[in-house]
Amino acid sequence: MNKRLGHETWDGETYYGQPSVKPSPFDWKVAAYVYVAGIAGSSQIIATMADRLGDRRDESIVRNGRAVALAGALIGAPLLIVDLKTPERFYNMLRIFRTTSPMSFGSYILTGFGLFSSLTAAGHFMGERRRDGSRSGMRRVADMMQVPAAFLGAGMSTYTAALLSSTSAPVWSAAPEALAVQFGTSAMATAAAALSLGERMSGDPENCRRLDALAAVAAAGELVAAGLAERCYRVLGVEGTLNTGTLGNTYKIGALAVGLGVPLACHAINALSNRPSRGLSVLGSLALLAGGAMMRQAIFKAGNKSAERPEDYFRLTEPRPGSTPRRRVDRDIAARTMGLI
Amino acid sequence: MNVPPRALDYPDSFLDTVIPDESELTCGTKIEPGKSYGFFTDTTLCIGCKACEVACKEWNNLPADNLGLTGRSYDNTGDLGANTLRHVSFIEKIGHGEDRATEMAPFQSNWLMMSDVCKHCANAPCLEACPTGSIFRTEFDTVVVQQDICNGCGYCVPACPFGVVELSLDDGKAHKCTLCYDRLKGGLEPACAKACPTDSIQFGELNELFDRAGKRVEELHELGATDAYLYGAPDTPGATGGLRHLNAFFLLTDRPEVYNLPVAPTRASSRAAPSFLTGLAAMAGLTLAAAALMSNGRGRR
Amino acid sequence: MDALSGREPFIMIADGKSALFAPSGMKDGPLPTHYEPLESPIHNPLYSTQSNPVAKRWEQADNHLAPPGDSRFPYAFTTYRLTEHHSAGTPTRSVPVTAELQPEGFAEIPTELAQELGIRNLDWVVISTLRGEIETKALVTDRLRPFHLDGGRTVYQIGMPWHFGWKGYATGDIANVLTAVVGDPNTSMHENKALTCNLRRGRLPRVDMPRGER
Repeated sequence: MNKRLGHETWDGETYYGQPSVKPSPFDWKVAAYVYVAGIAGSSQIIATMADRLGDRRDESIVRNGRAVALAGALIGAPLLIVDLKTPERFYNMLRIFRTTSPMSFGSYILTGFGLFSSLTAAGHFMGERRRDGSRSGMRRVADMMQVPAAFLGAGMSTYTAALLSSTSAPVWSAAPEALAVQFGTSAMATAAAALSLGERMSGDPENCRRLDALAAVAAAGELVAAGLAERCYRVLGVEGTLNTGTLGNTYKIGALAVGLGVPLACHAINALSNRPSRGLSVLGSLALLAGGAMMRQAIFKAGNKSAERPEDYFRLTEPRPGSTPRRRVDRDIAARTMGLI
Repeated sequence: MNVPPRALDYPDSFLDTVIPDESELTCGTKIEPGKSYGFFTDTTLCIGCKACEVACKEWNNLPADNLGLTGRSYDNTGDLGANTLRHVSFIEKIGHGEDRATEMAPFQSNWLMMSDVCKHCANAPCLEACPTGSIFRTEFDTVVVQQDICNGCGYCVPACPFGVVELSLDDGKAHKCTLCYDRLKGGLEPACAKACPTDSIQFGELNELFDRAGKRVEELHELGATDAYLYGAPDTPGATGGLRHLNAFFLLTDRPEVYNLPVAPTRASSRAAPSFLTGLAAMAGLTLAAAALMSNGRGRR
Repeated sequence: MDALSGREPFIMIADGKSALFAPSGMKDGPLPTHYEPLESPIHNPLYSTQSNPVAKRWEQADNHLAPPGDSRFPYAFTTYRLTEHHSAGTPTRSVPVTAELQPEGFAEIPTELAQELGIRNLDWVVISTLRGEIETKALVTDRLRPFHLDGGRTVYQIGMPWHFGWKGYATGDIANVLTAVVGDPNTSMHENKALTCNLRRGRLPRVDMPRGER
């Protein structure tokens, strides 16, 4: 029997079920960082929009947003440092700048965001916006620093998806673009939810309507992105980890149904009614925040779990019939292994 | 006997110094910085003796990571890891029940044996993932983790498409085969290649190895082993997805998955830009939405 | 070595050559014939004398041989070496990096026999002969092929590496508990590679549990 590679497709055999790639050593700390980084980064964006385009009534959004951004940076960085296995060498993260490594350029995004968010928050809390609308010097510094902080906040919201995609874990590497949109929209939705709750507690509840609307738009975007990602997983044969077991439940029920379905329903009802319900708004915000955390946890665990399933990895790395890879060598190998030669 | 003339200068059994350029005598290759070196592992010559595993552990002073009897034929090592830089795989392919082969397949006798190792990829994903610059390309075109820079972030671990590099929880750093960087600097061939009794593991200059391997595949096809092919040489399985080629490449006689290798692995960093840029575009769209909502119903500042 | 010609490799023989007809020097010569091992699952199909009549035997209470085709010991048993260990295992089982290559003793069992007796890979099994019983782990493999004999009889063979003992990092029961002390008539070489045994799933009741099994 001629078993040459070009005459037989993979029949599912693995090496005694031994994983073919290794799972990451990232645990809940890194998943928590991604969550916090997203809220912080997107809060800075919302605060900047409120400051530039809103009026006196939006002052509380600006204040809360800048505080959340700073808090996120102050919580996020230690989470990552503690996760290092040789934490005393954390500064080596800034030793080089490598465009091929999202962890490398991400470290700079985090450092820059931390720096500019600190300056923005410091300027804000040390300065003031006077009754006549003019701003003190410190406040003006804050309003300048917020621009780079916001740009870096956009980076903070999504670079972590690029980080997961640039690995060989099946679930993480299967849908790089969809994952980035999923993380980015989740960051914006959870930030808007956090600021909406903030307005209820220490700001102007009238502002909640627009924040809830933003949260709903982002949540809708996240649902679409999750759907596109799921389609990629199915095509590549790696949907198993996010669809079965406890992890599947955490993702489908926790992250999607509760984390996105409930908020969308709540905010939609509020948007269509004459007297928006305070309870629904709060419920929607809480559901978004809980769902965002569960989504990050589920994706992290699913990536590591899929790395331990050789059948997932081999399905992912099989050349696909009907695909036309860009590189000649990839086309050649596809042709050979699909028995076309 | 095919003895290089210079070998006769060292007839004693005990030497008080390292032979200069010893690799010239042991594997016919002089090691010079600036050239590309690697391994050609010809599995049709492997006898499964595991001398490579032991030589590697002895040279690098690695501890045993005794996992106990695995029941996986004669492979009790399991996998490459922080303390195991060479791992011999055993796959029994004699068939089952009535379908047992009655004639031994040429080479490997229906019992596949393969010495797995770090592939030292040309476009190594571990190197491209490393944020500290600890993983670098040496002057011998090999990939090495600098232990005094690594801070144990562990990003190289899921990046590797072959599951090679691992974090050691004992010292908090990433470890993998160094292709005996220290031996290369001293003119010695790597420990596993030197110990291999059948020259299944061949160390040499990369282009020379590619040539030799190509000829070996042709020779095997003529001898009836038509299943033989190269894995990791340019334009072969394993050297796909932007990896270009593997400095440590193999001659296999069954599908790569049987040896726990992917058919068409990819260069992980090729996903970084598409993912990040798409994410930024999404953020741009969401920022516009935020702008529209924040300015809705508000006069000018 | 230069004094020996390449055409006279049998250095234990005066003229260095082997012979089919050995006129002198062989206790069981002058012509070779087929003898079954001193313990065998079958009767000698070729020759009326079952086994070598001048093999060295020691009649002792703990050294009985089972008669040919004894149904108490129906399986053929052999011992062999592994590349990873050396002889009785003393040098390699006490060094961690060689001990981990084959860290426990085992016996290789054909798939068909394992199915018959309900033995799965890595189960504990007890192997017994008239000399004694040992327990070891089972490695179920297709590499051991059942012998299908004329008349529809199937004989299974079981193989066991004989490197293991109870000191060191890699341990296991001692295979030579099972073999009989019988010797080649000329060289006194121990016949430890062909005997019969019985096999069952389970463990031996032991007061001192083996290391690592407490």
